Amino acid sequence: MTGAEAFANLCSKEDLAALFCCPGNYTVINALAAAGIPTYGGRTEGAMCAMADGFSRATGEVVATSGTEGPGFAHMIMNIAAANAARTPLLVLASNMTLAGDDREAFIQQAYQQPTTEGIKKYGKRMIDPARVHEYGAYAFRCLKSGVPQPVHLDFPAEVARARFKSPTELRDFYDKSKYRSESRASPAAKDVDTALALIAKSQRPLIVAGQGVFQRKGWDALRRAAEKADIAVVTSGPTRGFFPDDHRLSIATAPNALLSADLVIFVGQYCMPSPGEYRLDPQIKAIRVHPVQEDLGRNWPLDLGIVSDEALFLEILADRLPKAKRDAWVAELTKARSDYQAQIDEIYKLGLDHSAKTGMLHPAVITRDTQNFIDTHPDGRQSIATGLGGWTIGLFAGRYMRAYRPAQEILPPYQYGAIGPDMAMMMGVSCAVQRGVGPQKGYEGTPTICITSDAGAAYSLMELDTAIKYSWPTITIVYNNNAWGVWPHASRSARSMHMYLFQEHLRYDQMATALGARGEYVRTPADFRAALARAYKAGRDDKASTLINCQAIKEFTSGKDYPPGVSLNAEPGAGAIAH
Amino acid sequence: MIEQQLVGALIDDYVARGVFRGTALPSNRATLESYGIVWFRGQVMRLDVDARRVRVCLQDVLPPIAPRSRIDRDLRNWLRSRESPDLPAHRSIDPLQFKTELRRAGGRLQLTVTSRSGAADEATRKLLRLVNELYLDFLAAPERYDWIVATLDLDPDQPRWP
Repeated sequence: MTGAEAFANLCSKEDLAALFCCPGNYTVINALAAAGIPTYGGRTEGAMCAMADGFSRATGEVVATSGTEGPGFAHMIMNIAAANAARTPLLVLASNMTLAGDDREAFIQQAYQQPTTEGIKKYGKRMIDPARVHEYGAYAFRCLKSGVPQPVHLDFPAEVARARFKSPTELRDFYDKSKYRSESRASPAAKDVDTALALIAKSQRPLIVAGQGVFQRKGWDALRRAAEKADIAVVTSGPTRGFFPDDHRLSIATAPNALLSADLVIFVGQYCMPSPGEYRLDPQIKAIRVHPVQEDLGRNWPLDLGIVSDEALFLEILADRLPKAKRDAWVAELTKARSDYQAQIDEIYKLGLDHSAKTGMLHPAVITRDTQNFIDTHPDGRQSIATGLGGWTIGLFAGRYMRAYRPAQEILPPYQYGAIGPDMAMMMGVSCAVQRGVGPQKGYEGTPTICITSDAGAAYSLMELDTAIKYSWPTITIVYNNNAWGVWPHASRSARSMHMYLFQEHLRYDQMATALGARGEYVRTPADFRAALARAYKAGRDDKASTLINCQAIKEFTSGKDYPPGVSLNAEPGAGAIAH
Repeated sequence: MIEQQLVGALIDDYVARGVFRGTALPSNRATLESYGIVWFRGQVMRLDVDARRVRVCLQDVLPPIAPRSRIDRDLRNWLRSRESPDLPAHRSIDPLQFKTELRRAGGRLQLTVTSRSGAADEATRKLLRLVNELYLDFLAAPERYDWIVATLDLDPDQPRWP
């Protein structure tokens, strides 16, 4: 057995859900494939890394990514950083040529990998001693499956990956996962629970911000039970949405006006903490934070109570111990705030229709609202289609209109790190998860996914349509084609700067998609867009075809001066939040 | 004096909650007490508490706004909307209890809340909540996005505070 095979066997026993890679690091990726890990190969390492991240965001599972030694690994960096911001349990695998070539620039692709991922990983190790390959594999999964997950980066020099072992006794710490890590979780202290219950009892308008930790610990049933028992408003945060449904009577995700009324906030599993002022909350709001790792309590946001606990365990205890309470006035305020917000975005939609009619181009409010309307009215049910929202102008508009009704129905590729570009690839990873029916995607096999992205974003991963076709992942990509980077207004006062923000006009991304084996649609009117979306869904559902819908727009829709209201940031926390 | 102590305690609470990044020591001028508070975007704002007239005033609440401009009109309308009975009681400003004024002084915008019932700490609480909502609601509205980026000279990739 080789070092790579010993590691692959460990990954198999840990149920590693998938490997997304480009060839390179051959010994390791071949060993993983041979061990039965579902493996997928594509066109660029960066996009494959984003696919792995998307798969995990949609399932909560540990996934791996790999690339060639130096250049391929370097190409992954943006998306490793995006995964880090999302707290994705991503196993980054890369080889590092040979120890013998260190410091000699021997042949090609020499690079020092570990310093490159400094600050964007939970743990990293360049393995040197072949006998410790299993030990470090265990180290990796201990980090990936305990506490707050983040990327883990292992690099394998050839001397480790290709080392040969004749007996398990040659491997250090060669024992089972039941021995090298624990499934034990921190339970909240009784005194802390009592204090939390007292604070909730005093509160007239309590709010739970359920973060990525609630999703990753699958705490959504307990979350709902606790909220419903005492009329506590809920908003989810993080890169994955839907684990508290947007249409629930206690959802505040689409009621930004009510956020400022909350008098108690309970952050549960909020891994990426905002600072006061970044969330739309009252400055005197009392704050409880529940987090699995003690040293993060009190970071960024001063607390009235910090509780060390596993997210799901806390919510279960809360749901059991909370006395039933009715907060009719609070619920009525939530209802009114949701209704007011809906009226506001309906008005923007009407403006968008007007702008579209006058210009003969598609306004982003129309594209995104009509996409959600398609989902809401589809015979397959509005929970069926998983979506992902990226891009600047189109992403921010999508945040207003797109909804999520079940766990991991919506993915936010730009979450926190703000990468423009991984959207398409990330949603291909989601599509892979949906087609396999992994975790919360079970029951939706065969359903196409929808990715909303920009022309700027599409450039980064459009080639991966080849990968989607190869693996029969039915993806629908809606490209908002406004001929420019969405931030072009920041050059509007300088004729000398503007060229840096512009692309060629009316590029035919649909034709590029066709050349890659996908379907292509080019649309400029709301009616044409709706028809194209229906055709794309049918082709995806019936034939596993992927479609790119090129929505022709103009860059001026971004600006509120000519086409009000223009782009703006959405309230945080809430539907459309991207920062925290 | 008790009123001033209550206001001081309230400001300390805002600091402890991480809302204000800090305060300068209050300066006393007869019945007027002034605090320098560091708030949104790291701006230093001066909070004047006039205990005798039960009036609190936040200076430099926003950069200068041209009189009768659209933003000026919108801001005044928004302030009036805070007195609407449609707002929940915990959010609204009861005009029978408090008087709210937006004034210009030497090109600077100042927001003042005067308590009609004599409680300076309540007036301070109302004023600070009002300013919080001004930043998180009024300025966050889509139609204000271009204005805040240009006027507050925000980084387009980081257009939020604090």
